[in-house]
Amino acid sequence: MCWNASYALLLLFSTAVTWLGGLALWKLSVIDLNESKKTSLRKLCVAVSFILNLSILFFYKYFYFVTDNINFVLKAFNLKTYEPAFDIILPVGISFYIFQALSYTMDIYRQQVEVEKNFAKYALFVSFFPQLVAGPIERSKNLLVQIEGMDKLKLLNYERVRDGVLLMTWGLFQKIVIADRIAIVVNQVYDNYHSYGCVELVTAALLFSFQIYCDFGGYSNIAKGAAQVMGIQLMDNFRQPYLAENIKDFWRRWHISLTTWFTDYLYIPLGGNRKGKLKQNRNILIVFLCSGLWHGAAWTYVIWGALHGCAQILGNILGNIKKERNAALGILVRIFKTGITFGIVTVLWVFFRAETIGQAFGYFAQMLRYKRLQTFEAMGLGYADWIVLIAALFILFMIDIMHERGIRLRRELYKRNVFFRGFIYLCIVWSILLFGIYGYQYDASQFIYFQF
Amino acid sequence: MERFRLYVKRIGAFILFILAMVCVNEALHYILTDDINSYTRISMHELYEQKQIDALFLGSSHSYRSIDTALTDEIWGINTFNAGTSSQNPVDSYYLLKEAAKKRHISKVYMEVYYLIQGQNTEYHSPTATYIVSDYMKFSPNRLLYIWDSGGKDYLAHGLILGRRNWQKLFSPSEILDLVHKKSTASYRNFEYVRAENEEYAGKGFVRNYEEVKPGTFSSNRSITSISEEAISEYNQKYLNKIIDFCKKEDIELVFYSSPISDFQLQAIGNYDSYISQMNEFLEGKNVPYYDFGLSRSSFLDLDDSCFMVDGHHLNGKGATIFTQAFASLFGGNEETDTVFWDSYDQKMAEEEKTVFGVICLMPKNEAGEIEASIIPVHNMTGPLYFKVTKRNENEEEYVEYCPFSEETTFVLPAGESGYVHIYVATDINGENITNDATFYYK
Repeated sequence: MCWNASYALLLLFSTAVTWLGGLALWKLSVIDLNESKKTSLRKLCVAVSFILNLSILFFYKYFYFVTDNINFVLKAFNLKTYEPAFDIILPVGISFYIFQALSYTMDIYRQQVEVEKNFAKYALFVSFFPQLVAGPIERSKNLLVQIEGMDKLKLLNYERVRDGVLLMTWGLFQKIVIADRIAIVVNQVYDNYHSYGCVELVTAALLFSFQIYCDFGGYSNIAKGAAQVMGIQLMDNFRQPYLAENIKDFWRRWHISLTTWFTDYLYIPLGGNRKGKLKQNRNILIVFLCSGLWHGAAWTYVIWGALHGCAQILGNILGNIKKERNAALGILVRIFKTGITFGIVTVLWVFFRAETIGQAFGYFAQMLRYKRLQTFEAMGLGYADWIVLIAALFILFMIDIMHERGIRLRRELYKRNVFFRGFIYLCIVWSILLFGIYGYQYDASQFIYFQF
Repeated sequence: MERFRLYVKRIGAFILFILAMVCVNEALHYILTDDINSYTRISMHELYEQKQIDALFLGSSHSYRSIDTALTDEIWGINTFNAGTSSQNPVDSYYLLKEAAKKRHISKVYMEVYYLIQGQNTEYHSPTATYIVSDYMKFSPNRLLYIWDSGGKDYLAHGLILGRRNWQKLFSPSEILDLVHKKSTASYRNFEYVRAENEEYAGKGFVRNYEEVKPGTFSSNRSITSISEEAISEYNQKYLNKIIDFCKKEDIELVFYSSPISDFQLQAIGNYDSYISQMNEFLEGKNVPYYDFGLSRSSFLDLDDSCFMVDGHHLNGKGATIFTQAFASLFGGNEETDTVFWDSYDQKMAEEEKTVFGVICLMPKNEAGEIEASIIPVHNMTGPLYFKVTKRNENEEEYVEYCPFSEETTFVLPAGESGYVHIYVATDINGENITNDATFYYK
């Protein structure tokens, strides 16, 4: 990840374009003009806003990807290839803020929100720092409305600040105790997958599922907590994703802000499920291909997205297993379905994590080769680290189960007496301070989703 | 009123939480950090106990192994303290000096400037060098600034959350119990002096070592790096300047010096005079004198015999006694510097007794896996030298002659073997006057 102050101009440009687009759309809705001309002009406004914003995204994110692929084809035909004479650095969070800004244009076009005439407030909506670089991708009807009402907010509200800080602390725990610890194993195994056997490769693949969840989920919690301290409620971005019963359910729980963005602004405009099964499946595939590309300019992401689309289509075709009336059997069926879904998601994460498609297939092929199990220390973590990791994953699992059952842990905690609460706070803070992967001799991993 | 009570309650709870954090930090440090044999734990405790320090010694292990404060106290009749610590860089010295000068006046500071330490840049600064001091510093802005300046945010976590460096021990209860048991003894609580296998803490910062290098056995299997053009790194210059400024401000007399190093090491460097000239250049106009005891005339300080050294550059207890006496005599005004030091190391080598100081044997492998060994004698002789090589494989007991005495300085060891070679250096072809011998492991 690189940082360059001049890239703030991109953010300013995107903000200005969508703000002016919003004003133009509003003006067109109130001026006296015939309806068809009005509609055409309004569509033109949306198109200009989308083209300008997506052009920036395309140039900074996909230029190399496209030229590399064109060069690949040109080489195959022995034609002269094109080598760009400039370097492009991907600006941090570009995919997030451009999508957030575009959602405003669409919402204004659909007349779902009021136009924001104050540029400073609108700019704050687009660049609200807790979620600027890795989401959640907020909507104007949630965030902009709250920014409008910020004047009335009490600067310091004990309950609000406490809740926000606690959420940030939990996010930090997920990130630096779990995700960054797993990163050591995953990086070690993926970088040297030829040297490992089935057990290690499966372990690393399983762990990556938790790494990306705790990395991105941890960031989302930190962002949500930081916003809450300031009196802003951001949307939930994760809802116990690995307890999903099928792929469709998984995407209702994973990166919710992106899924709903694609649903509202791509899937539904394409026709959604209103034009028959075939078109619905086509739309799902398009959405997932776009989602894959949104994550990164590489074929691994495209394949990852496409496979998720296929898995969802397959799930739709097979339909839901009829709900079991017997409670005990019902639980077993739920566990089975959850396990299968988790398995599919984990396998597909291999494409997401691999640097090339070849590495992904090589990884799977290596799983099938016999290789004697090495010690778990050979995966990069010592004995004590494994204990901490397993205990932390158990805590994560239990918390997700409780959330799934509707138990709001923070709310439950606030009901307890001050000493019990203090003790719990102390345990959380110390577990981060003591077991976190940070400081000297540790390579502090950046958030995975920053690169998108 | 109700609102006010609520605020008080919350502020009280917050303070209580911070106190609990501090207590847990201390408790974790107590049960996880093994400092049973730490010298700095005792020396820092003693430093805080001093009401007045007339002369303070700063520097690395070359300071705390070389200056016997009991002797300086006795000879000078003042109170001296040796605040040298392992791998102490100027940044460490600067903050230690500030800490020592906080509540007591210091009249004079002797700062040891070992050449290898002065050449180090930030990336070579060891966090342990900071922690062994900062762990025992009283909590103050000086301590925080010290940790921050030594290694920035990377050092802060380990420097303030003391248990973090050894958290793995939490999963080894027997180790914790053993440590707690040792720490609960009166000797630990009363900061009684500790003794390791071959050395002991002897009080007021001095560590006396009992090891000796066998005569004629100085050796190394690596070449000794020569002095670079930046013998005092920018990073160290910054803190040396800060020390100089601080001493000026606090009216402290400051002296820079280098402890004696074996001629084996100094001569092997090849250009040690470059360090001396760079140090003198750095101190030009700063009104701080610099004395290098590597340049001592043998009539003033004769530490040539290896029985005064622990290794190539540390004095042992015997050496420290001789050196401290000479040091105290010089700075007590009993000696003239002209009669004490040679002008340069080259002059010393030209004028003093001709001898072989030691032997370096480099063993790089060639493409076939053979070891192409080369012998580099370290000496100031003018005549030829002769070398004999004997060797034994790892599973053998007896050495057998591999190369007879000759002027040849290279030999080849077969691929795939491991064992020991023993090299003899003589001044005659028959090997009747053997000056040195040393053993090297090869693989």
